[in-house]
Amino acid sequence: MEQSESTRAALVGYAKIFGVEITPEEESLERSVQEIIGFLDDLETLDLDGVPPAVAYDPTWPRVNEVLR
Amino acid sequence: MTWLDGDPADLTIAEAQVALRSGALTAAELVEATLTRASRTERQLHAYVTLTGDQARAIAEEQDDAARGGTFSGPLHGIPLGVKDIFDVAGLPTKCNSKSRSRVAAAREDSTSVEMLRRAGGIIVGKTVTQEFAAGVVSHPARNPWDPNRIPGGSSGGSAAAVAVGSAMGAMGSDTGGSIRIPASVCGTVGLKPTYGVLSTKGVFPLAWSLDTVGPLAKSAQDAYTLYGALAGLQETTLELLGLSDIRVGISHPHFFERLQPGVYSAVREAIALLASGGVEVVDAPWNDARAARAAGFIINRAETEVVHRDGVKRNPKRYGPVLVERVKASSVMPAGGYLRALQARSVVRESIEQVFIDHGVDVLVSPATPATALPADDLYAAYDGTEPESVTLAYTRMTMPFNVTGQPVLVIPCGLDEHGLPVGLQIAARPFDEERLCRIGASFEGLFSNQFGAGWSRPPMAAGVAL
Repeated sequence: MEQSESTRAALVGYAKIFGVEITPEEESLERSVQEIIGFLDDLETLDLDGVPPAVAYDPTWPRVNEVLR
Repeated sequence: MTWLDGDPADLTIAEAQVALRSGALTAAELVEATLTRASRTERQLHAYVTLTGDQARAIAEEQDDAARGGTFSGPLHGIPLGVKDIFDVAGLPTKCNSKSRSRVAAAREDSTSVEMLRRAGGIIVGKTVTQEFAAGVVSHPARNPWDPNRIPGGSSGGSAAAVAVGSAMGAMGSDTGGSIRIPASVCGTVGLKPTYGVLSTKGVFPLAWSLDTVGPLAKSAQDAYTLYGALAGLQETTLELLGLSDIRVGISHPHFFERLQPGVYSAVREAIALLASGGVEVVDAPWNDARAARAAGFIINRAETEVVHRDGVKRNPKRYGPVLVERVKASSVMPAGGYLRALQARSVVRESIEQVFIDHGVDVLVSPATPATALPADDLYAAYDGTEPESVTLAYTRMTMPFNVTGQPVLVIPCGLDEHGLPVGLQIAARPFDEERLCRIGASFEGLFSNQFGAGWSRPPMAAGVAL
């Protein structure tokens, strides 16, 4: 229980840095923030050292129906 | 069954094309049958925001006049279609199921998708229900045609429900984290998420621009490819079936086969066994980065959604639903570095999935489309044996999101029913730009499943007028 309280306090503090207030009643918001942090952690299973971020649009990919317009 | 001994609303697009061209059926008759089906089912289904019956009837009459003179409008001549209400349709407001757009003006022009469908002769019969701004998987107030107490999935829930029940012969959806494939899976229809970037998203309200993909929902793989062909401007869309022994399928453990409802596991396992017994070569093809791909998809999705909606939600949160408000609020804790890490991860997983296809020589990967079938509308948690229940959003996107990050094309087809008689979807992922082969494979699998379960097995009872 003590650990969960301290984890919660850390989460609330973290969210506050970004201007997001999590009140004790907002359990669902708290879960949503936890999900995001959990998924960020999942990325750490990859070796991303020196990897360039993917581009949103790959210019070599044709956008077929726009070409035909 | 053909329309001659049944209802034209039950035809596939391929069957309707034959009937229309032979003169056995008119566009007006087909549109009327579809609208009649809608009037019978909408009280329970709520698949549509707006039906455009009068316009559809007028266009059908014009097409019939032209057809009597020997002129057909295109491959979709006379085909009644639904369009998710995040696509612009000229003359109609794009409300995105959001109070924030309740007074939005009518769109002045069609989205590119709608323009392409109309150019091919398709007739728009209405706009279908979406989750607010396509950000979620519930699609309230639309319901599931197999059981109206359950959700149709989302966010293209109205489109899937309409196609399943026959109040549209095909429909447009969008897929950012699974929003075509999820409702296709839980409503028992076919859904095609094309390769990212192949089809224009012009005139479609964005959710997360680097993942947003538009595509069709339909009753069969052939119909999905016909619609895809119209959207992409392809000349030839008739699929030749592949011999089952010419298909090599990869199974990716563990990500795609853990934490499944028992009914989903059984149906998919039996479907794969059926494929193998039919001659399909089935091999293990592990993709160790699937979980990270899903995580990257989630992060990119949330970060971009936050950017799209931040100002509106801040300015007037009461004009947005609680799910979207919370999503935007929670996503604002995302550090820029987190988003960039996710984009780096995207580079890695695009390469690693390509390597899986190369190393194992597979044509496609198959998996369950969703770990759970349609959930009750009043209990949005999926329960599995021996593990904590999972929220509907996390559960339904677990299998689909990795392929939004890689961008490859994915087809979902129904492959069986669970113990409640609810449909289970099979997700089939192919190489980028391989939509044709993907749909040929899907059509070949459909033939096998129809032989096993009987014709019409994936049609919900509501379509046949059974009171639920």
